[in-house]
Amino acid sequence: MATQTKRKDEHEEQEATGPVTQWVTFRLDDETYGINVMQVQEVLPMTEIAPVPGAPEFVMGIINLRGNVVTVIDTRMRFGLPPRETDDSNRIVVIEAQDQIAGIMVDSVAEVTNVRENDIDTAPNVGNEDSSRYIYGVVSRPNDLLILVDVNRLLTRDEWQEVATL
Amino acid sequence: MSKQNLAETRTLSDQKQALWDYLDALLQEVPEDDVEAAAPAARKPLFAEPEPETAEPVRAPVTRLRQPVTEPPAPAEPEVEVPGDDVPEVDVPREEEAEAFEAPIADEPEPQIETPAAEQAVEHPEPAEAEVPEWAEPDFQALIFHVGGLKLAVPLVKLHSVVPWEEQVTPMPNQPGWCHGLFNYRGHNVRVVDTAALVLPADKRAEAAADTPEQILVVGDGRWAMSCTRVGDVVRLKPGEVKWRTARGQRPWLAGTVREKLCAVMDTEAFADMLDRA
Repeated sequence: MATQTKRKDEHEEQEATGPVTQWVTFRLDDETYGINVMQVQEVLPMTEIAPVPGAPEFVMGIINLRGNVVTVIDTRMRFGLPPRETDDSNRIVVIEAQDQIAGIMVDSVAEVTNVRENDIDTAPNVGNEDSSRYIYGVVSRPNDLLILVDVNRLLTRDEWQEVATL
Repeated sequence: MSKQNLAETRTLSDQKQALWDYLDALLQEVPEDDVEAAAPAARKPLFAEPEPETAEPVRAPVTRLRQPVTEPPAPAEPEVEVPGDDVPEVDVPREEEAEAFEAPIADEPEPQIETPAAEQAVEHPEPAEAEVPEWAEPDFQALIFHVGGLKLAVPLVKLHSVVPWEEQVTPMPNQPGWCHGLFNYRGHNVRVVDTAALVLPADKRAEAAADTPEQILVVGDGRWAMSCTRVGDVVRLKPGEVKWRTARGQRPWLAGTVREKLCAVMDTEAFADMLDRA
């Protein structure tokens, strides 16, 4: 009886707060971004990136990941941020998006955080369709605003195809 | 009066006149072609209608200098020293620019003929079609605030709240240059715009960009907020003290100008609408 009551309470609580999802958070400049943990394969320390002649400008190059070639995307450029010299704190987050494996370069990786679906606000459009395209939403936290990124839309369909052919 | 005193008096008079001209110029609609001819575009405008790549969004150069009847013609580019940060600098067009404005253009309306300053001082003919907004009757209070040396006023009835900056504005990826980012205000994500980037002429923006915003003015229904460098006093204004703007083509945010206070009154609803359309 007690177990049933407990389950009912949990169910009611989940209905009230919405399902919880986990997000890998990373930093770019002074802002915190999140990617759904289900799309993250692994996080790599900074490694040598081989530039690819003729690659689109949003591609930093390729890395060898246990015998597989992974394209690394210049996230700073994609987000309209100024370039920065890479250092030991940089990480390459290997993601799966649009049936492809790719790496995104970030300044640092912070943590995995739980986000309630109800806490996600739709990011208001700030006058640029390009930016709102890949922003899944924003979550207000006590000390900052977490910007959730939809990695599938980080690149356009054509750009993903371009990456696939590298 | 010594020669130097005479020169100083004239300089002060010119400054006042220049400021009036500046406010008047804000009220005037300058055809797009003329704006392009006078000022090459430095950045992509936000609200230019036909040619977004080349037109400037909010620049309204003074079309002609008003000269007193007895004064000899002024030099092409007189030096206008503006003391203090309350007073905006004034764009004074070069002779060729002024000529460009006066060149007849088939599609544009009759150019307005400026009356001499002496006549202007006596009478300021209000355009018959200038409508006084409902909120301005019988009088209204407005908060004065400063953006890059330009003094603006926002009617209190249109002001949601004033919030200190405190570095709580989060820039969004790939946001346009006129946007500071988002900040959470009472559970809502409010978009904060760089007022200087939207309101000031292109050549004054770089100067204004060095000023750190101190306050955020949340306007209208709370969807948008404007940054400002300083908040001033609240003033009570009568509708007759405001030179209301009749046409809102290029600067829909401009409701009118107040000569007594040397400031421009903002229409925050039109400002928000303009940003929504951007």
